[in-house]
Amino acid sequence: MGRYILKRFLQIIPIFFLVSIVIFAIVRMSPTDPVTVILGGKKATEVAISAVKVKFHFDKPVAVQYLLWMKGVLTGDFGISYKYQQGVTAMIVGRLPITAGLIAFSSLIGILVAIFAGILCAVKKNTLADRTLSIVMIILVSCPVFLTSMLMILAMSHISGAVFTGTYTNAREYLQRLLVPSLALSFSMIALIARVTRTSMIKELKSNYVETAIAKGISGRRIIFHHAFKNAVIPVITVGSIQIGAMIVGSVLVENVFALPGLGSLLINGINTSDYPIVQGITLLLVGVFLLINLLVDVLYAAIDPRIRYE
Amino acid sequence: MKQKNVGRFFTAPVIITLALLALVILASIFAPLVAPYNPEALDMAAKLQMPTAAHLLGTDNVGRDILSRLIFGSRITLLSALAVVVISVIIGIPLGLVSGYYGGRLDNLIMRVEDVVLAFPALLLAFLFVASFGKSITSAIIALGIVYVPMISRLTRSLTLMERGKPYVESARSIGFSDRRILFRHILPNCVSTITTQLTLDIGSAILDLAALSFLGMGVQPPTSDWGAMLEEGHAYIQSDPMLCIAPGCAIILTVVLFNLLSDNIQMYLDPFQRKLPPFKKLKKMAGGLVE
Amino acid sequence: MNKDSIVSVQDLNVNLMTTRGVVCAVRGVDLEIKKGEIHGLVGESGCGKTMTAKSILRLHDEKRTLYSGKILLKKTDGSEVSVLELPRKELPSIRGEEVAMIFQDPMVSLNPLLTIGDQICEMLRTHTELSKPEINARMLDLLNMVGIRPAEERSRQYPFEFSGGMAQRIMIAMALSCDPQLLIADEATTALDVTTQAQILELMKDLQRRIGMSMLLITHNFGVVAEICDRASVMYAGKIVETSSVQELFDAPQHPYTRALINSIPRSGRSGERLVTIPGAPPSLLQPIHGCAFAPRCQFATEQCRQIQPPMTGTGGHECACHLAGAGKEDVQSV
Repeated sequence: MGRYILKRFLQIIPIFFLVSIVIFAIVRMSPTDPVTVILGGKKATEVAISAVKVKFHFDKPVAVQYLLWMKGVLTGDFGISYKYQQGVTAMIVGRLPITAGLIAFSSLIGILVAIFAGILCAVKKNTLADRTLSIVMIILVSCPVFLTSMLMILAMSHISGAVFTGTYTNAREYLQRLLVPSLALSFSMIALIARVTRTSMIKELKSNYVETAIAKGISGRRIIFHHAFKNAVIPVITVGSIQIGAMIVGSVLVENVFALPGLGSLLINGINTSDYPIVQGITLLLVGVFLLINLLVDVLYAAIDPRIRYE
Repeated sequence: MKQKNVGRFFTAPVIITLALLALVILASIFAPLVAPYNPEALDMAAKLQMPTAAHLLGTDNVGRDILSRLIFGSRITLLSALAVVVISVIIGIPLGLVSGYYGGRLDNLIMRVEDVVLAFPALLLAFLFVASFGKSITSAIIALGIVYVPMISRLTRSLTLMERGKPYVESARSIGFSDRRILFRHILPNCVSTITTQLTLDIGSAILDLAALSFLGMGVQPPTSDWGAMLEEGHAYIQSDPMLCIAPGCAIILTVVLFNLLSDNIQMYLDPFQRKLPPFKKLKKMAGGLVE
Repeated sequence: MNKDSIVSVQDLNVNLMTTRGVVCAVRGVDLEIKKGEIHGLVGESGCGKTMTAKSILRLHDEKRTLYSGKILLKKTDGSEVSVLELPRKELPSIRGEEVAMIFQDPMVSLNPLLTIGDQICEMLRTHTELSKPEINARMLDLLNMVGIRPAEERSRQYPFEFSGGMAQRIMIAMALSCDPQLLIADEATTALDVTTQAQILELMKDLQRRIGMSMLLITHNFGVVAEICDRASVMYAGKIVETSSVQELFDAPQHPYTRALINSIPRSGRSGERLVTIPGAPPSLLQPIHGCAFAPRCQFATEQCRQIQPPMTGTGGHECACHLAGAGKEDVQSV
């Protein structure tokens, strides 16, 4: 098992570096001149311009710039923001709790609710409950996450009058801020995972080993959870890992609508102000996190399915 | 005893779905004829009105008719979504065919490249493109098109792998057909139906992704508006005049639901085990006629 | 029910709802399985043998299946139950405990994600009150009994680590774990190669002798019937056409279908001879069948055969459903 994890980890490293090259390349291809951005668009002296060039390494060849950037990333230094003239790393760290919390909570809610709903629908296939839930799921999945967010804010303000947005100062406020956005973010994940769970469970419930289990006189509940679900969960994990990617992106939108001080809003800010270190840094970070999650998912596969371990 | 043909594709739900979709598509094609007003006609006197006979969905904050904006907006939304899917198909299907058919190092190379693309959660690459090349619908479309390629490519690849092992491919090769001919005239047609399921799903996803980009101001630029942009504009008025958001919101939801349903129905049709059987009571009635 | 029968199937009809309509898979089957007997149920694909067998455990999807008739089962404690009328929740107490079943392809009949030791212990945990160490010991005993050694080590392995033959042994071990009265083997050796097939049959024969349980062996292979069955029933188009002891079935088959089947068994040492087949095909079970189902293909068929379903008649344990029972004796090559 350990060898399997190592093998997978080694496969991710080249991808990570290739991704970083792609990110760097795309940013460098921009027609916008970073020097202008740094100097705030003001007319500047030659001295000022060359100072900037030296400070941000623009005088060096592109490959070297890339290597310097990557070296920084691997040691935790994401560079200096063009606009704010301060370390990007510190900015990122300050905003990490919100984004991490958002993704974690919504994933948790999403997975638990979805799996439960999916199994329910599969077992009670084609009954009223199943059909109603299926319709609800289709609508949820078709609703863009920022729309759900907007509607939830609307609903919240009508119901309780108080809407929790903006920064927080303690743990309680932190949770308050995250509760409703996590819910909004989890909706599309619930819908997709529930559907896949349902389809997968229906397929497994028809399989031969389930027939054997029935012939053995095993109780229905055990067949559903211990036999069928273990097998059914494999494609669910696949969809789930893709969905987490969608969630990472969705959190950007949710943060925007709920005005939360997370990585997403920092990223949007960076895009709007052409603040490339921020854009590069956050994008790379998010991709890195996504790759790690995929690795964890692969490990999960191997833990569940012995056939994979022996590959 | 006459049996109803349970295996038809054009069942009632499918026909309704297709009809509604056709309605939406036709409305957007014939927008100038269908829309009651010019979507960009300002009329400050009539701003922020609730739905009336004159303005079926009301007006927005500068007096533009919402219904007309919705209809014209659908053109951009649908066309861009279509463009995204077309790009992903033009690149993705050949890649998948080649990857699955030839295997080996070419396959490995293509898979590696796709791994890199797949490492980007969809919109993130779009953000990057927009950040670099400027905000425009074109950057958004190209970025999304690239991000959607691996899905189609991998699907095509696994289908090709399945087909490659089948006897008809072997016999085609032994007759001497060129690889290209085998791929495009034999293997591809067999994959079309499954790929179509994915494509209809992708159009729906593309609509959602593009709307998100427009909402953030990174897609279409003013004065053109698509549904996402309409939502962004209406965001400020959501408490006072919700119709500005409800109209484009419902439009998006409805259209994506229709595409998802279509995809579902195609999938159910392709998988014979999912076709529905008549309910148990009917079974008893039918069996009663046969048991002697 | 006969006092030495453990299962009595009486006028069983099974109707199945499919996408093409209602299929009358079993059209009035009577079957008695005696204690300690190995009973073969033979017939071509689609004749209803599996459906009959599964009905004994009521394994069919109740939303799509309609039963009529009776299936009586004599439990270990002597009481009689009518399987088709039992409430759903009492079925698990019969399945595995009174009647056990093994299936055709053991590689897909075992849960790929659980160790085989787990799967056997699960059976014991469900039906017995034994403690964990006792269950474990019994599981290892069972594995030894069916020839899976070293039992301790192999019990921790997963199904994909075994060959087809070994997997079938595991299925047998599982099935026997709770001492059922009846073991139903549905084409248990069909998916195996000939050598393994012989080994498994040998194992089943041996176990049956030791434990004294009854077996219902479903097969389309007369060789298997000849090898280990005591009695056999031949099925065609959802009905049993002949029942007798295996010796008599081969020596003096009475039903034209049975005779045709035995005739068509290829013989070694006669190369160059044409294979004998039965012309035509079995009727579709979607339509009601009038008269004898085999009539369209039977060279002896009369008008009576085509109009009236022949009843099961016969004496001395040899019964046959044919108006012309015994007709065409001369055609049979001795087996």
